[in-house]
Order: sequence, then C-alpha cells, then structure tokens
Amino acid sequence: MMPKLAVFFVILAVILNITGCWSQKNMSDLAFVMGIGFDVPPEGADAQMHEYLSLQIAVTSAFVQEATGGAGGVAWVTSALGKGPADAKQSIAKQIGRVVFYGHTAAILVSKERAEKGLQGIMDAIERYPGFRRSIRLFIVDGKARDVLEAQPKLDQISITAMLRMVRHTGITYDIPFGDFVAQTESETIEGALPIAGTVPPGGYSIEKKEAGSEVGGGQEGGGAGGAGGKQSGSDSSKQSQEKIVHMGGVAVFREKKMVGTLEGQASNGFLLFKEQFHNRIYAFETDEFGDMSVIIRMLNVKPDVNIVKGRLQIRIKTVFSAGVAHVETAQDFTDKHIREKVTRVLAGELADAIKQAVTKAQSYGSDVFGFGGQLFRKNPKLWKQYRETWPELFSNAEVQSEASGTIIRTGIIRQSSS
Amino acid sequence: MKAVSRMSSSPKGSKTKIGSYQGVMVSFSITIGTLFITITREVGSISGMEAYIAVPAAYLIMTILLVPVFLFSSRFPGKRIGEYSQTILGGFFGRLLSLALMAVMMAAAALVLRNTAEFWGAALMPETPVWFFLVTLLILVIYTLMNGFEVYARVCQVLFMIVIGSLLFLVIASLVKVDLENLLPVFYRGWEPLLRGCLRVAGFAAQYAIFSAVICGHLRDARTIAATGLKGWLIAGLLLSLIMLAVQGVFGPQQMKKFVSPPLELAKIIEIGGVARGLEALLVSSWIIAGFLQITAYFYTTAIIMTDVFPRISFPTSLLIVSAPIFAGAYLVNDQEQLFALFPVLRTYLILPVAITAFGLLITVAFLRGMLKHGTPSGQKEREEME
Repeated sequence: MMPKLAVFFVILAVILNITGCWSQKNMSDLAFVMGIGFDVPPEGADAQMHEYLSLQIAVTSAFVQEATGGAGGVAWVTSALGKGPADAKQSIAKQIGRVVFYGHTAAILVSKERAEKGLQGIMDAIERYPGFRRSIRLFIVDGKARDVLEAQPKLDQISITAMLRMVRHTGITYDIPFGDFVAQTESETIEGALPIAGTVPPGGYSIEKKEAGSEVGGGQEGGGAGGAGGKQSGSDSSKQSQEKIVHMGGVAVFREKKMVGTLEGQASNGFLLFKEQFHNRIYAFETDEFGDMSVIIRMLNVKPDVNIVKGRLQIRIKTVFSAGVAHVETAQDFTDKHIREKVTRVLAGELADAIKQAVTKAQSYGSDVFGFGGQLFRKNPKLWKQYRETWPELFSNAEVQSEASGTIIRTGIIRQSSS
Repeated sequence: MKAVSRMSSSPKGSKTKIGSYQGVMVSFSITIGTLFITITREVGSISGMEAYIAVPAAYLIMTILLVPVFLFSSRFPGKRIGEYSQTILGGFFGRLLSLALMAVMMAAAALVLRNTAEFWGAALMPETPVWFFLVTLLILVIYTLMNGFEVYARVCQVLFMIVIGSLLFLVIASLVKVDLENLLPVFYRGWEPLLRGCLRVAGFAAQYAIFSAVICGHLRDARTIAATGLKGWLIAGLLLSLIMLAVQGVFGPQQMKKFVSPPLELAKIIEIGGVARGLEALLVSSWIIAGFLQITAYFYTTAIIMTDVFPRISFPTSLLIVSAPIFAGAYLVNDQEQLFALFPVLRTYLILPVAITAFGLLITVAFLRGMLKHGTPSGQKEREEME
C-alpha cells in the first residue's frame, strides 16, 4: 500500500508542477532577427551611448498575408542606442514586446565609419552569445548599415537573403564566414578582410553613379556603392533606401580589428584572384590587340612564396589559371594556335598585374590580408619569430613579383568571330 | 549453479558477468565519455600546433599504465583491485590503498558530474539552474546502477553506438572545412609542448587504469581482459585523435583554446550540402548521454570499491553514501572557470600520482611476496579453496 501511495503522490506532484514545457518559447512570442546593423550614433545622441544598432526583424504575420494574397512588408527595421552592442540589443527589446530571437540571424552589417573605430566590441558580443553561429556573414557597408537592412531587393523578400545569395551562390564577392574573420584578426600571421556592400537604385545604377560623381564606371565590379548609399542619412533616407537594392563590391582591409582601407576595382579583383575565389566569373579587361575582352576564369592555383633577403621581404606569387573566352571586341580566329597563345599571354599579364595591385594597395595600409606572414611562419618558424614584431613594416616595404601562366581551355561555342 | 550462488552472496550485480564486447563499450564510458569536450581545449592550449599529434602519441604511450591492470587481472582472475589489494598488501594497507583510489575517483566523479551539467545547461538549456541537471543526472545514475552492472553494460552497448556515430559524423562533416595550414609547422618550439600535452592525457589513462582494475572482475572470460582493455583504450584514442584533428584543422590552435567547447563550435558550423544546418542540438543530446554514462562509470567505481573496503555495506547503500559527497563536490564548484582549473590539477597532480603509486606499490609487494610468479593464479587458487 505504502509504495503505491508514494507513487501516487509523486505523480500528483509532477502533474501539479508541470503547467507547460520547460523554458518554452512560442513562435508567436518571438521576434526573428534576420540581420543586424551597426552604425555610428547620430549627431546629438547621448554621448554615453556609443553603439547605434539596427535589427531587421521578420514580420511573421506578413508571410501569412502574402501567402493569402495580402500586402505588407516582410521585414521591419528598428534601431536603438546603447552602451555597447549588448546594451543596444536590450534597448531594442524594450521596443519590440517580444523575445528577440537571434537563432536565424544570417548577417551582420557594419558601416565603414563604425568599422574604422574598430570591431573589437561587436565581435566580442557576437562571439560570446551562444545564439549566433560562426558561419554567419559579416559585411562592411559603404554608407549606412540601416539603409542596407531597409533595402528591398526585387527577387528576394529580405535584403539579407539577397546578400547571402550573392555570397554563397553567385560568388561575386569575398566569401568569409564570421568565425574565419575572427581567426584572421586574432592571428599574428594574417590580417582580416571583409566584403563591402552598399545600395543602388534598382535599374538605374549607371545613371546614379554618374550623378554621384563616381570615377568608376557604372556596372564595374568592385567599384563600391558609396556614391548612392553613402549620401543618405537619418530618417530622411528611409524612404529613398527602401527603393534601393543591395550592391556588392570591394573588400575592406583590417589591421588589428580596425578597418584601415579598401581594395576596389582591379585591386579587389586581384584580392579575390589571390584567394582563389574568382571562379566561374567574368574577368573583363582592355587590350591593344583584341580591344575589350572578357574571359571566364575556370581554375585558379595561386602559390605565394616569401623570403627575406638582406632584411627585406621578397614576395613571389605564381598563378596558374585556365579560362574560357566570353567576349572579344575585334574578330579573332581562335583555331590559330598563335592567337590562343597571345590571348593567354595577355590574360596572364592582366591577372598577375591585378594580384600585384591588390598586394601593393594592402602594403600601403600595412595590412597583410594575404597571409604572407603565415607563409613565412610555415616555411621558417625561426625566421618568423625573428621578424614577427616588425612584420607590418617589413610587409609594407616588401618587393613584390607576380607572374601568371595558364591555358585558354575553351573559346565558347564558336571558334572564329564573324568579321 | 556455483556461479549463481557466488552472485547471490555478493552485493547486487557486483559479480555480474559481461562479455568482451560489452566490456569495450563500458570502457568507452571512461575513455570517451565527455573527454572530447575538454581534451580538445586542454591539449590545444598546452600543445598548440602539436595538439593533434599529442593526443594519439599519448594514447599509445600511456598504454603502459594499463600493464599492471592486465597483470593483476591474470594473477587474480575475477577479482577487483579492492579485493586483490587486500590480498597483496594485507587487510589494513590494502583497504587504505583502495580508499585512496576511491577518493580520487570520487573527486573526478564530482567534476565530471558538474561538467556534464554545465555543458547541458550551456548548450541546450541556459535558463535552467545547474542543480536541476545535477539532481536529474544523479537520479538516473543511481537508478541505472541499482538495476545492476549488466544493465549498465547493456545501456552502454546501445547508447555508445549513438555517441560514436555522432562523433564520426562530426569528423566526416567537418573534413571539407579543414585547413591544412592550421596543422603546420610542428615541433618548431621543440618537444616540450608535445610532452606537456601527453602528460595531460596521462591523467585520463590513470583514471581508465583504475576503472579497468574494477571492471576486470566482471569479464566472463578473464583471459580477454588485455584485449578488451586495449580495444577500449586504443579505439577511444583513435576517435579522440580524429576529433582533435578536425577541431584543430578547422579552427586552428589559437581559436581552439578560446572556446568553452571546441567540438560544440564545430557542431555549430557543419552543414551538409548547404541544406542541413543546425545539427548541434542532435549531436549535443548524444553527448549528454555520453556524460551520463561517464558519471555512471565513476559512481560504480567508487561505490564498488567502498563495498570491497567495507563488506558490510551493501552496494545500494554505498551508492547512496558516495552520491552525497559527489553531489556536494559538484554543487560547490563556484563557476565554469574554477571547474576548468580543477580538472587538470586533479588529473595531473592527484589521480596520476595516486594511480602510479598504487600500482607501483602493488607490483613491488606482489613481486617480493612471489605473487607474480607463473603458475596457478592466486585468485584461482583461493576460489578453488573456497569451493
């Protein structure tokens, strides 16, 4: 009798205490954060509030409306000030009235202006919080991060989704997960680099760029998008930015978690070539012999070698490529072996030059984003130990040699241009 | 019939016999358990670039610590260390030695219990107080062991396949993310980092040696103890080496030492074909099961040594007795950092010296008393006399 009675009381106690799931979180109680933006606080803000944070929150009811034919934005962007990232997040939670859920956060955007002050605090907050994954993406925004969060891409519902698609599938920008960036910035042998994003008006990019007075022609990759996005500010920009789409271009260069410069245009391409991330992409260039020309890079193998001779760093970069011809301005007969060899030589010179430009630009910032320090460390750890303290200076004054060789493996589906 | 009568005279399940395969699976509870959670960070911070070499090297070298266990098992078949230590050293000193082993395993049990509770809380239920995990694990462990050692062996047999599967999956899924540059250069700081890493693993070997010296009495065929023990140790070594390689290859030595749990971070970034992501909850669940099995092994070791030292105490009573200090020890650890600081101190400066001293003493005295000579094993002789 006694054991039965005891079991009965235990069951009763359990039933009375279980009024719901342990640590339950209903979908309807959560605010799903898709993207986070960090900007410098607006002028006139409380001087103690160092962080200006924006959250792009998925409006879950809008998804239902859309499925049933209703209208309404699927993302809402809201901002708050705080004493650091964690405090700013808490401030936003006060506006929302739901539990802010970061499990679906896919990207974090930081404005250039904010990144130049250093990412230490932001990175620390992200790394400490267990809800974030190390595979999320970090972008530098040419302009305001909030503008990119508010941008409305035409083929995706949320700007963050469009950005991730650009990174993961189209391969048009530098692809680096947050965890790898952290590892780079904390390493002695390499500095960090991040892709740059911005906004442009849909369909009117070239005109907008010219109006903004950019030196770079519309549509050229790595040209940066600051002309459009950077000119907007405050709440006035909200309406304008909603009519914009996301644009990727350029690479932000860091030194000890502080952004120190950018690689744009040819230097940006050179950086992506060096990182072997320029796969299946069009590389356009101008030649004397063939006029404007485009090739598709199919394979890349970049082998850097470093040496220290008489106290001076020597960097040699050897690139092997294979490519296909996508466009030639002047009529060419690619059945002629000499023509193919000539194209290969010209392309090799272009690629080698692009890589050299990227290295030279990074040298001007004293930031070894290529990991030449790591090369020396793996090749000769004792020599690295000797020079590690003065590495930025050594890198800045390094002698750079870049050479490339390869083959044109295809000429498209035609062999001769019609004259 | 004789076997049955022998079992009935012993504490419940204390003489239950298990097969060699079950023995290997039970061994994993100590040799794998939740070790991979801590070993990657600990060895990574000590050995740096050489961490992935230190783990397999240490597992191979430290096999030597198991030799005394196999030796005594062959000389005293069917007996545990708590029993043959009294035969070799005499009642008083044998009990004293057993108590020392029990004390260190009890301290290890407290830390492992707290570690599993911390991991459970940090990875899955951050809002839940730590006492809830401690009490839940304690109840589960005591309930399992009350049902006898064979039940525990069968639980290990089933559940450890899931744990091993999850670890192998983690290694395979992370292969594409391994950067070979995180593994080179090695030995540029000399041999010291490697040896220090090996020393840390030696603490694990000492724990396993004590555990093996207890469970060897359960093997149905005492002749298989060496094969069973070695399989349990070396397969675990291979698996942990792979985990270490994957963690270091993906994160590099610098990042690895920063994480609370490097394998958890690895689990968070793996994806299959860009589709299957966020699998860490599944993996972590299996690792908590591994933690439960590991705690059970420590509980069993301490409780069974207590019954050997104090034969009047029944096994269930000894379980309840040891659970109090283990729970208190686990609960009294202030915070995560204190826990992480205590682990290496306990393993390297307490368990390892105690195990080496205990087995060294036993071998020396047994040798001097002629108990290691070839011929009829001592345990066999006694059993024959009893029968």
